Amino acid sequence: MKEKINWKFTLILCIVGFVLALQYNSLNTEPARDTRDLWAIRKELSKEKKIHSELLEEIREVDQTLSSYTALTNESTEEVLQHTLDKLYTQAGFMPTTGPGFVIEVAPSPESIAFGYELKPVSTELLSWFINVVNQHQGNELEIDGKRFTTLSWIRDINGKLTVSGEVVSTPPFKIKIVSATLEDSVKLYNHLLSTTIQDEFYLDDFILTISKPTENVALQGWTGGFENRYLKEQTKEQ
Amino acid sequence: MWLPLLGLLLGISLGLLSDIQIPQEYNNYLTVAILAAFDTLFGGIRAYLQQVYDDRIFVSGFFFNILLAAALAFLGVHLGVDLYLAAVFAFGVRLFQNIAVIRRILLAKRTSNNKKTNANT
Repeated sequence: MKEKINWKFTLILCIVGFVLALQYNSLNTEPARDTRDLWAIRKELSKEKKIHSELLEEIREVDQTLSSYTALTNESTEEVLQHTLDKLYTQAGFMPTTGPGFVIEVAPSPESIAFGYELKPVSTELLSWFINVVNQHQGNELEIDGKRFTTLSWIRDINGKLTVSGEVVSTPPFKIKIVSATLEDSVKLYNHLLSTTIQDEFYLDDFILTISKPTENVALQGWTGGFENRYLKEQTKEQ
Repeated sequence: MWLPLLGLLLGISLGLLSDIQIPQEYNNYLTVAILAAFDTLFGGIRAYLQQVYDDRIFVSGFFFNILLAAALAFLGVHLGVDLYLAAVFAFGVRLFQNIAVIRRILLAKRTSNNKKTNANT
């Protein structure tokens, strides 16, 4: 009888010990040591400050829109709403845009032409990778072979053909246009693209990228495909 | 006597070696579960010393008390009341009572043992 009691006590004490150790483990986790030096912290601070100023700018813009709404007279209602609508369309990439930017030409490499290789379309992985490299710098607008690339666009391989938002991208040569907010941003992106391995990646697939120097005026077409509205609903007047 | 202690040590070393960590938000549950376990444990020792120990009551009490305490803490979180404090209080009081009874029984046993040895000599 005593043996039986002992076993049960042992088992339960084992469980208690385990739970106690778990509690000890959970309470005694040392916070990860901050190993950043002064310059790393300053860098992060400057990043935060940049975000701060961007947010302030956004707030200012929204405030302006709000004040224009409050100062509405019946005659200008339509004008202000149209202005907002245009701004939203521009943001979404539905309006043609002109701004500082540069053009990249994707063409088959001279070697592949000399050897008579069959021309293949650019692979979806390569194009996605390229777009990710461009998107490392924020606020850029893209156009791939005359198709505007918006936040809602997608890249897919449909029956061996490269498509952007369902529209077929022609086999190289074709042009990719990138427009940035300012010429300075454009130069930064241009230098970034030159410094990355992107040209080598394209060369591995028998393409060469010719990146032209940034200019003040590069025109992008608007996206004409429309968009699917799944979540927003129009309010009736009573609401 | 040594076997339960060995079990405790085994449990502790298993827990420490496994390096499992319970997330901060579940800490309350673990605390009341530990208290409930201690309460049952000391209750069991007391019952054993008073010779009213029952296997089934001890084992079922152990798991049931832990679950009840955790459930109470869970309910408290959802009601916005710190109900786990009620469990902590109840188990705390019982723990002290049980330990006091165990101490008295042990003291009484010791005294009677001393008397016996004195009588023998």
